[in-house]
Amino acid sequence: MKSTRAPRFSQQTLVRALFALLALCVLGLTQLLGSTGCSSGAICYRNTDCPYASDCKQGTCVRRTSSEAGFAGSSSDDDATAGELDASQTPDAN
Amino acid sequence: MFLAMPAHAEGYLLDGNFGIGSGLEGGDTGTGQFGWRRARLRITTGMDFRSDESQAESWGFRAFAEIEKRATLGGEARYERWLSHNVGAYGGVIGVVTPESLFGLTTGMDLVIPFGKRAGLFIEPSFSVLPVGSDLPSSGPLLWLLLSAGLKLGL
Repeated sequence: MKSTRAPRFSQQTLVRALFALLALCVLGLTQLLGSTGCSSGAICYRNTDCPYASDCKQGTCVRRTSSEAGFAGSSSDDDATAGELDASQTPDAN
Repeated sequence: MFLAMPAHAEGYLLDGNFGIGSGLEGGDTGTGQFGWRRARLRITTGMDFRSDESQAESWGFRAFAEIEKRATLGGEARYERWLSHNVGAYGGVIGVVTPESLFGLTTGMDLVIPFGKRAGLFIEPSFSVLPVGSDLPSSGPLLWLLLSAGLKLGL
């Protein structure tokens, strides 16, 4: 008599299938990294991509102004230069 | 009734782990364009607590440090559901606390390759969305698509 029961998959088969799926995900991520718009370290995405006392503004590190940094009694000269794009402060390369 | 033995207290099983991870980090730089790059390398350590009465579920706590660029320190609290001894899924909250803050939600899977009775290698793909914090340069969330791996030990 022919059995009508569905085939049972062992836990080991399930684990193997999951590992295979994971390997596919890793391959997919590698492909994504390699081919599609993965930016270099020249663009910042987080404030901590920038050096100390700098913030990330529109993908570029900008020196924090004296008032933002919380320094009391800053001179007007400081304020004049504050907030300028600091070309030397690029995000650290990845 | 007075002769009944006192019930055993619920015990906890403890697993410790230590690993390393990286992957992809996506976000909006403030220009309106969403981009991806390699996520910072991180080391993680933590513990999982399982009740001996319900070993299919556990609570996990992780601490991690991103060790590239300006180093950061963060943590994670998660609820894990184990489909088998070696495969689990989890969801929880994640955050960076210093030097800037970043908070959000995370979900992922745990795959454990056992080495002997009490040790194993864990592989953990995860996805996190972090919409809040002072580390964000724009109002858009930061996304982490990470793969971590390391050693898991039954303590």
